[in-house]
Amino acid sequence: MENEEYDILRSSIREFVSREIEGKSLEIEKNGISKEITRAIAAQGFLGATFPENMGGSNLDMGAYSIILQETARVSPSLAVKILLLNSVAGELLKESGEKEIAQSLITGEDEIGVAFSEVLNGTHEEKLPVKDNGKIRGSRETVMNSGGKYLLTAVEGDKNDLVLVKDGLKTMDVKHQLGFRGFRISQVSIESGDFTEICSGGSGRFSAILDGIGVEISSVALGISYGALNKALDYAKVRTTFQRPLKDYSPVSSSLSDVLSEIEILQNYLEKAPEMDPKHIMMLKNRSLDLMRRTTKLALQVHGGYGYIQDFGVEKFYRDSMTLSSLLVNRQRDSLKLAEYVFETPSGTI
Amino acid sequence: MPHCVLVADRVIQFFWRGSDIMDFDLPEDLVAAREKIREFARREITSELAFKYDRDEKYPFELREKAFKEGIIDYQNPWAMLIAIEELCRQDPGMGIAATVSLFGVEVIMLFGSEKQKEKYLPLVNSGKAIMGLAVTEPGGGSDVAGLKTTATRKGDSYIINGSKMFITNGQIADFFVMLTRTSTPDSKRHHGLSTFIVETNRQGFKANKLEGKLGVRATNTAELVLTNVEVPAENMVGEEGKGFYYIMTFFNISRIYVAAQALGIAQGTLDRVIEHVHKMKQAGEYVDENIQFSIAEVATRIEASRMLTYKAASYLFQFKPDPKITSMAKAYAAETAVFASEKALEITGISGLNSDLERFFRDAKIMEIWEGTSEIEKLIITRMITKTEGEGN
Repeated sequence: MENEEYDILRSSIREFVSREIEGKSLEIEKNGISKEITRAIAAQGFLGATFPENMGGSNLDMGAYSIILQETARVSPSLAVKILLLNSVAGELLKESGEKEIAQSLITGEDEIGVAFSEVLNGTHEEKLPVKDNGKIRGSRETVMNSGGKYLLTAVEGDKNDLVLVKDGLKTMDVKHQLGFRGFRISQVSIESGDFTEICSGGSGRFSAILDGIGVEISSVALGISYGALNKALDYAKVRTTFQRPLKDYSPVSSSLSDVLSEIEILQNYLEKAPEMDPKHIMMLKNRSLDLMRRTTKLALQVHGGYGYIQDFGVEKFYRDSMTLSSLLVNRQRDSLKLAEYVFETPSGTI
Repeated sequence: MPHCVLVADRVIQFFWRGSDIMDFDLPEDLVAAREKIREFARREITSELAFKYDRDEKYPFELREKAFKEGIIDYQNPWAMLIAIEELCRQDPGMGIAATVSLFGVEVIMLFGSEKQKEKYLPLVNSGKAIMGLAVTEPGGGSDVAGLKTTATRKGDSYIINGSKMFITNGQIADFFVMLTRTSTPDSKRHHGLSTFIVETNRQGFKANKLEGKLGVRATNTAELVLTNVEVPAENMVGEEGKGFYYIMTFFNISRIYVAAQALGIAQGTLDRVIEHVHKMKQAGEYVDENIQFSIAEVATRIEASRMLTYKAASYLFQFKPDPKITSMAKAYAAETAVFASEKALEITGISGLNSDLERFFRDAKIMEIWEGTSEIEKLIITRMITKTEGEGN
């Protein structure tokens, strides 16, 4: 795509999101992403953004896909991450396995797929993986993202540590703690006796590789969240008065918001060049985007004062989601080591 | 929280005691009180209960009753009360605050109320038989207390109150409120013409709408109050007409110390859980790298500094010589420490933290930087006080 085409795509996605999603973003937080919304984004091609055309996808390039993630994250980070999980995690694996029919049912929003890769994230204490038993999968996974659907992707126990697509026998447990991405369910799933398809061996390693390879996507969501939270704060600072003056007239408010916008725009320019970048610079972009997102969402909430603490104002979700993104789709320690290795050109930071 | 009913010998000396001793230890009876409170908190505030009250946004009446019954809430002993707030919030911020905030605003009556008001209302709240609250903030008001719009108009021997209040703790469960209203149009200074009243919640025209969907401290009850021609007898006015602003500012200089204790408890609670996580890492043979070690050290240091500031502010207050500068430093620093500690805790614990109490602590902590004076307001107070007393700053 040419630059102008990206601009047209961005404005059309922004218009769609504003028209179809923004008014429902609070509903998404309270009751999850509805079937109606799923169908609407499926119809726009978001769910199959990077799937090949022969699987019913749009086969978009990274620049276009990044715009979808950014623009949806500005309004609903849950929706953006749902798109990311399907395209960048599940999609990668389904393409390998050639599961065309399943892919089509997911792209159209007819079925849902959960993904479980908590074993490759920070803070896991020896979670037991499911096992193969008489041609079926049995066991459970603690933290399944987008649980509650028909399918599940997980690694299994064993020498080969296969990565499998479980096709039935799933039982979704109640959600306990769910800090962020409340548009979809994150919960334990038990696999009672599931039929499955083997996708590859070395499943946990494959998930690690996938996470390592989605730096542009994570940066896109992070910057979208930053923009979304900042826009709320900018709007609020213009209309909210205190001590008979608008908030924007107070120097700590105006300078902190202006500083953050400067950082966002610099990173935005960088992100637009990301599809051509090497892994080192993508890692740098991801590192800075995540840090900026955390600072921006905290600032945006603080600018709103007490109203920021209430769900109805739509800013607290960015605070929750930013921390969740940093923990559920990023292995901070591994990223830190990788970045150090890029910088020093030898393994570093291991102590 | 009647910190004003003080016994002189309960003052803790953190500074020069004699010529060569600087004793930072709590007296033995307070050490014992902390242990008793800690044991109560562990027994009565389980992770499961905290999860349930948070999920259901339900006020823990049972916990409050037990805390009164077992002497955990003892407003006659302000130091023990401070420690109770810290320890209960350390176990769970939402339940801890809910259980210890049922006398919120009582100092206004204690300091400025008539003898008759003290006799009528204080025994009720001190014994746990009634719940009260303070109603100051208004929709669109926030930090700008003097800009409030709720009016109280004299009519014979009564006042008629009209207006609304926002983010009111205990809003839906309180038996009465100390409420700040405007009784006359302001002169050149907006904070003139404000008066405080005791407003019972069973009066006609009083309505409380519970605020749901808070980010955190969801076990506390928060509401919007709507007052439509609520008639209160003139004898319900607390103190003198037109002095309400000063009364409330005096109160904030007291309550902020208790908020600092809430924040301190939250920060300590997150550190406890991080230490537990690190033990598990070690048991599993995982390496605790120096980045993690540095983060833990920084959190622990900030907690210690917050504790010193909070206890220093309390020590001044409990000796009847409150220092607003130290109070604001304590509140702002402890609040920022709570948020910092909760962030670091989730960074260190990763996915296991997200699946634990820590995610709730993360949500709860943020309110510390907002209520009872935002961090921004506290910073302005600190600078104003320094400028005033030491001739520094702008």
